[in-house]
Amino acid sequence: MAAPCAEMEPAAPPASAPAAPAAAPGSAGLVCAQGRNLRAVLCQRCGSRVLLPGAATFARRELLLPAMRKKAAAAAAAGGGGDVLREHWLVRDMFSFENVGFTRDVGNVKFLVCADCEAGPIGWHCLDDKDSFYVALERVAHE
Amino acid sequence: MTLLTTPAMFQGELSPVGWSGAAPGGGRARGPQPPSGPAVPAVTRRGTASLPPSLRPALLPFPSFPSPPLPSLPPESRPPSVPRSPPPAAAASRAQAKMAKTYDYLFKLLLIGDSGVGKTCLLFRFSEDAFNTTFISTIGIDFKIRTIELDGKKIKLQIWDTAGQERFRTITTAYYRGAMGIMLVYDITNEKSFDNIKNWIRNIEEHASSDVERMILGNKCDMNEKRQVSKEKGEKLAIDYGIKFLETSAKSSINVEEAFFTLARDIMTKLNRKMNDNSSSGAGGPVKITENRSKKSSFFRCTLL
Repeated sequence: MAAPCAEMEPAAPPASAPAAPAAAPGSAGLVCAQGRNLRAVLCQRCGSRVLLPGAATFARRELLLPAMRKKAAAAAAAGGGGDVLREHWLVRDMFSFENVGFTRDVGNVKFLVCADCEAGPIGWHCLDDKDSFYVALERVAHE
Repeated sequence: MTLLTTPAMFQGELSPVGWSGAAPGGGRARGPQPPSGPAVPAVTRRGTASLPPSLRPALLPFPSFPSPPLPSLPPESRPPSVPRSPPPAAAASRAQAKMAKTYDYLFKLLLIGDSGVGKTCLLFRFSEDAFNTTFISTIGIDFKIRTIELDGKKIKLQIWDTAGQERFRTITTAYYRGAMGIMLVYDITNEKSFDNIKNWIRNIEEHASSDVERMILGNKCDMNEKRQVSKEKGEKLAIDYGIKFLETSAKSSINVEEAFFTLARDIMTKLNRKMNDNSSSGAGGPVKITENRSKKSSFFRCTLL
């Protein structure tokens, strides 16, 4: 589980940003012309406000996030499954978040969780890049 | 953002392992870092949500990335010395320069108290219903960022939970560094945790900044039938130390928000007072016309019991 971020991200460079919103399957209608989030980003589970509109930019990058499973299910799937997620909200200043939790370090990485119910991981942060915080579109709701 | 460097003096003790976000390479013991982080799309940050400049008062020097709490290591596993590379200060100031603040204040708060008093639960909004994946509960939460609004000011709270290290009494200066507010938490159904508040206060006095705002919380006040510590006792202790007091229930959401708002307000008041003092004395300008500040030593907000 304690994989350094080098292992968690394929070497493929991210697509040039800001990505064209229209081409993004999961992000249709969510990205403004400047590549920012049009809508507030919320926790899928409890609705806690993670990001205000305009606080992040759309970014493509392949990141492996551990599965969001509750205990029982996760135990069944022991071995640490996860999903490679490609569409993210990129936040440059961690204090741009309205509400968010940071896990302790896993290798070089901290995962982001909902501050209110701790659902997650909803995002990813590598300690080597202190100005980048990724929130996976698939793991959050949009107001 | 102000970078908080970790002086070499910490190398000898249980070193603050973990994150110092503004300090690449300043965290965990590990080899030399690659010079630059992973490639990311080049995006300029121009805050659409940023506040007008008038709402962005200069923050006092604030360690935005204070040293993280120490991980809970059993005493025998404490490394005698954890190598740390000094964080490059230049990187932090660069980061500071390019960011437009979208908030007015940033406060680092700590939760302190014996194990099991419910500190972590104070940070859940839905305590009974926490999601708690195996993954996340195994790793543990380092800190949370919360945004509140007070008097029209947007305040970011960075709240650190000791997350178990209190069991080993290893809370040291590293954890307290940069803290502007501390919640001292005991469990009203556990007398020992109440008695230990005095020890925690001593610990704070020894290690934390002398002007840190403090507050005592008697948690689990929903469990009245198991109560071992009367509210009066809690109030008395708070009076003795000149600290505010609230009984809280994370489970029933009693006074939890109030507690954080109260602490944040006290910090803000203190900051503003300091800024006023500085500006009026520094400018050598008009005579200060501030009423003699009565040290509001302790006032109480009562619980809904």
